[in-house]
Order: sequence, then C-alpha cells, then structure tokens
Amino acid sequence: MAATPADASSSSSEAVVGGEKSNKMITLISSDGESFEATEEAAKMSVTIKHMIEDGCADDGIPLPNVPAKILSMVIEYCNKHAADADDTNKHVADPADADEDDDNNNNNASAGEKEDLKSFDASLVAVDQATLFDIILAANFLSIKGLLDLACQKVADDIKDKSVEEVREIFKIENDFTKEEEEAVRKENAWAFNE
Amino acid sequence: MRITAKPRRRRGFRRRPRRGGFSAQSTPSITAVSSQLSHPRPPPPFLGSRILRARVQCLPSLEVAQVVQLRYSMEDLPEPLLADIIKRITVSSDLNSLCLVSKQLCAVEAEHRGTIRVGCGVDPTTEALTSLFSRFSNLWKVEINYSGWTPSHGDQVNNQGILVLSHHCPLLSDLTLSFCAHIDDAGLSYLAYCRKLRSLELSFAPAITSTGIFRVAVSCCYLSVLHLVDCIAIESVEWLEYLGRYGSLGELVLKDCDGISQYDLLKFGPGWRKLQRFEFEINGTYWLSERPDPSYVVGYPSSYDICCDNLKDLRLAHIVTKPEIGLRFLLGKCKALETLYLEYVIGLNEDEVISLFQRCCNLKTISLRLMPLRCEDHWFRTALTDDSLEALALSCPMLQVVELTFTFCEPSYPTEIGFTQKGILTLIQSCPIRALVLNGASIFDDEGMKGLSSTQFLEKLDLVDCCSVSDAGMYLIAQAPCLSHLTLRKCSSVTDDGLAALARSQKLESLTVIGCRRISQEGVQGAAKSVCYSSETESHNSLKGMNVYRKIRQSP
Repeated sequence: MAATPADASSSSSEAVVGGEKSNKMITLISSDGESFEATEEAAKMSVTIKHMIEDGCADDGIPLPNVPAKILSMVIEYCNKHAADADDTNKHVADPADADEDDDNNNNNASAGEKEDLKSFDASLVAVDQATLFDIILAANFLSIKGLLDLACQKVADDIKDKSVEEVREIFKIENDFTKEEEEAVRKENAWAFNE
Repeated sequence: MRITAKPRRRRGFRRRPRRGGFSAQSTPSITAVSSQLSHPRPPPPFLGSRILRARVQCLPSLEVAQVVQLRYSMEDLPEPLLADIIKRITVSSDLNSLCLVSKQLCAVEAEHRGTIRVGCGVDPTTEALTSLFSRFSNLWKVEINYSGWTPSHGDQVNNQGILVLSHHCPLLSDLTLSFCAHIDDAGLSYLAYCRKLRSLELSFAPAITSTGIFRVAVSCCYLSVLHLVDCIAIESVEWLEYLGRYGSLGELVLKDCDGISQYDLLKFGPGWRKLQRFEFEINGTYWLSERPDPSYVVGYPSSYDICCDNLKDLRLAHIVTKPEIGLRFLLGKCKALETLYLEYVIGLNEDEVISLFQRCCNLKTISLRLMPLRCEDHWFRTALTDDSLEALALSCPMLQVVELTFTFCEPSYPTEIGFTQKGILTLIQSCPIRALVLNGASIFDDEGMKGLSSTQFLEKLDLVDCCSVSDAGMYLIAQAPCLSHLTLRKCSSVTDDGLAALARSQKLESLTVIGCRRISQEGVQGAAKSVCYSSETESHNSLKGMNVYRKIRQSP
C-alpha cells in the first residue's frame, strides 16, 4: 500500500479542520525513503514528533528510520482520524452559544455516533496479522502515541485470552524452550498460585 | 516510555529504498536522506524478523514473498512492551497458559505479577516456597488461605515460609493469613524485613499473641490497616497503645477476639484521631459475658476525652453499652461519618443518636439492626423511634443506602418496633435513597409498598421476613420508576401471581428469591433479565445477621 505524495496530500486535505488550527503540513519520511504528509495537528498526536516540531527540527521533513512505509501510513491514518475527533469534541465543548438544550442533545447524540464510528475504525485498523501488529506497537512506542499503543497492545492481549499454550505458540510463532522437567515444575507451581 | 529494542535472534533483512518514489521537485534535503538510504545498511534494530531465506530483498513480487516462511515473533518486542501486553491479561488460566509458552514470557509474566493467593495445595517446604517467591519477586499482595484444610492436605506453611517470603519479596505491602495454625509470633517477627508492609489481616490465627502484633507494630512503621478476626490468643493491647502513640493506623477491624474488650480500645488514645474505619464485633451470647469497665464509677457517666474527627466508617456489632458507655462514646464524638452500622448494640440512647445524625451531614449509608428491650418509658420496644428517622431525614441530604432489621419482634405486637410505617416512608421520600433493605418489618405492608412505588431514586429493594407484603404490594412496586434489583427472602405472603406483574413490566435487571414458600421456580421465570432462585429455608442467624451459637472463649 504505497502512498504517493499526491495521495498523501489528498488524504490529509480531508483531515484539515477549522480555521483556528494552522494548515501547516508536516512531511514524515519512512525508513525506506517514502515521504508522507500530515497536518501538524495530526502529527502532534505523536509526542516525539511534537517535541521535534517545537524544537524546530521539522522544517525539512522528519525522517523516521524506525518506521516502514506500510506502518507509517497506518499510523498517519490513526492520527488523522483521532485528531479530527478530538477537535470536534473541543468544538462542542468550547462553543458557549450552544446553551440550548435541544442543541446539546443533538451534540451528545452526534458524539455518541462518532464514538461508535471511532471504535469500529480502531477495531478494523488493528485487525491485521501478528507481524504488522507488532510493527504498529513498536512504531507507536517510538513515536510515543499512547492511544495507538494502548489499542494495539490490547488487541494482542485479547488474542491471547482463552487460548491454550499450543495455540499461543502457534499464533505468535514462539518456540518452546522448556525442558520437560522445567515445564513440569512451572505447571506444579501454577497449580497452587492463584493471582486474585 | 520510549525504549529502543534489543535485537534478538534476527537475520538480515535489507530493503532498498523505492526508486522513483520521490517527486521530481524533491528538495535537496530529501535527496540527501535518500542517498543515505541507498547504501545497504544494517537492518533497523526493531525489525527482529527471522527470515529463513535472506534473499527476499531481490524478489520484487509479493507472490514469491509468500513462499518465504516469515517468522516474526512476539519475543522480539522489547520487555517493557511485553509487560504492557501481559498486564492486560487478568484471568488466572490465561496467565498460566502464557507462563508455559516460553521461558522468556514466563520470566516477564513473573516479574510483573503483583498479587498471589496460595491455599491448601501449596508445597510448604522451604525449597518449594523459595522457588515460588523468587520467581514472583515483585509481589505486593499475598494471601495464604488454609480454609477447608484437613490433615490429608499435608503440612501447612510455617514460620520458615514467612521468612522466605519476607526475604524474596521486598515490595510486600498487603499480607493476609487465614486459618494458618502453624504461624506464630516468631513468624510474624520475620515481617520486620518487609519495610513496606501497609496492611496485615489475620483470620483464625490461634497461635498469634499480642507479642507478635506488637513486634509488627514496632518494625513496620507504615502499617495502616489491621484486621484481627477470631484471634483468640490475643489478650492484651500493648500493641494498640503503641500504634495509638507512634503509629499511623487508618483502619482497624476487630472481630471475635475474645481477649479484647471494649474498654481496651480506649487505650488507643491519640490513635483515634487518625482512624478512618473502625469495626468491632463479638459474636455469641455477648450480653451474658460482657466484662465491666474497670474505671466505671456508679452515678458518674463516663466521658472520654478522645477525638475521632476523621472516622468515616463505623461498625459496632453485638456490644452491651449500659450501664457503662463503652464504645458507645464514639457515637457522641463522631462528626464526619459516611457509613454507620449499629447492629444489636444494647444500650443505645436515642438523644445521643439524634445528635449524631445532626452532626454527620455526610452520612451516605446506614444500617440499623435492632431488637426490643425494656426502655426508659417502660415500653418493650426497639431503642429508636420515629424521632431518629426524622432527624436522619432532616440532617442527612446525601443518604443513599438504608438497611433496617428488626429481630425478635412479634408481628402481633407492632409496637415492639419503635418505628412506624409513616416514619419509614417519610425518610425514604426525603432523601435520595438508592437502596433499601427491610428485614423483619412486619409493620410494612402493601400501603407502604405504594409509598415506595413513587420514589424517584430507588434502584435496589430487599424485603426479608416481611410477612405483611403480599401480591398487591408487588403490583404496586412494579411501577417504581428506577427499580432494577429486587430480592425477596422469607416473604411468606408473596405468590407467583405477584411476580407476574414484575414479568409484565419487564423492568428488573435481577431478581433473587430465597426461601419464599409460596413462590415456585416456574413463577420467577421471565420476571427479570437475570433470576436467582432457591427454595431452601435460611437459618435465623443467616437472616438476621447474628451468630448466637458461637461459644465465647474467656481466658481463665
């Protein structure tokens, strides 16, 4: 899914919001040299990038040698979607003219619908194979995007729930390095160590 | 939380930058970056993928790449991220499966395990416990619970076990020991190594005496929660005096410690100022064996100079507070109570209780268990009347939970209950009551249910041993706007017909029916989203919250 700069700019132009925020575009360059554009607001969802912008290192584009193109495009998609949502919430909160009760109800309904929308977007973003999921976790960690990190880690945890030992090994491609005796010892201890 | 990965078992994985991926107008800086990337360089550290055939970078098409077996393992994630994932798994069986997957996952899981409970199956030998506690070295909460132990389960954990625990788990802050017959004062003294011990709960610990508790009080200066339940060997309270003067105890629960009397609690002195939660209960025929106050002088009512301004949760159960005042002095001093449980406190003085309610305007939960006694006006009734309910209604605007239990009150003598139905309804309608329990309220009938059905906030209703509430009452309560949880125990006048009204209204989240002889299993079906039914008759003790059969063990 290689996004050309043209695609990147068109998708980011959809995400441009309100006259209050600056429309400055930030260029992000993946590890394999592709460059992507994102609004400053979306890019600032990453604390790492936010610090770089504030320190003035972002003018020529930000190289991200740890993030491949495929993952960077997913990360930018997440940031665009969540930055837009955050801004809408701020708009609802910040508008004092909306003191009317009916309007308030409409706003609440709209944001409830948006929340559902956001949830299903998040779910589809992380419905990927294990390798991509781990790449997303590492990228979110490197870029310090807490929401995306929580989302991806929770997906991995949910994949582990209710699975047997063999199934976990199969899904996550882990080799069994226990000897028979060691495994027996761990099993014995587990039998009498409850964690609640 | 920005941590770079440690590369583990990775094969080379090289990718060339896409040629022609940049626009013709690329700025000089981007070109400069791309020229760096065109040199084959070591793989970015995070990509720990194990690729069995390293020639993949020469193959442009995806179909061929699929033939290559890509093994990208979770173990290549850096440890803090693995820990983040593992912390989100909370079910024991899932964690046990995870431990067995590989050594690394086992180690990471063990490092982040915080709480553990061991019981009858644990191997009590020093070697096994050393292995267990060194595996889980970051435990902060440990429970050793031998309830249900029989000699066939083998030996129990003894003092050596506590020594091993304290040496290997330096972060231990909460320890609970239940039914541990072989842990005595020497074992407790090993807790001196647990500098961070904050909470100690001992249940049925027959070998622990006051010396053991004293040692813990002296060596663990952060101790703030202490629960002693059925510790029959504790007979003096030097530890309590010490904690009062030098400690910072915030929560103290004493149940069935026969060697500690109400008056010993006075020695807590300045410690009462910091205490936020206090419970005192003695089960059995307590009204026959209460020891007198050694400082009591006939004719001079005691007044203790003690401040308990921070006390928020108070529970006094089964104590005699006349003629000496005993722990009832707390009722005259508290100002900030939020939860109050007075269960079968003999000697309640209504004026004192009314002024308590007037001082504690933050009261949120109240539970009164009352039995009739000969009162000052020579009536045989429960100690409190509608005047107390009125004081509650006027002074406690945040009251949300009310539980009223009447025991040994004869239904055919309704004046044995000091309250009237009108008084109870006035209270319910004056305060935002969310949950109500009426137990043994034979004065409460269908008219009362009509009053309840118009309350705005009532979500949870428990009717226990209410013989005057019948099917008509059920029809009425089905109209309560917020009611979502209903419990009926030993309500002999409600039949299946009454529940049909609830089924029609389809409002209830949950319905529990226990021991109602005129309600059948079929009758409860469909009355609520989740239904719990039992036809077993409950014992009197269970219904009324007493345990009169417990034998009080007095020291010789």
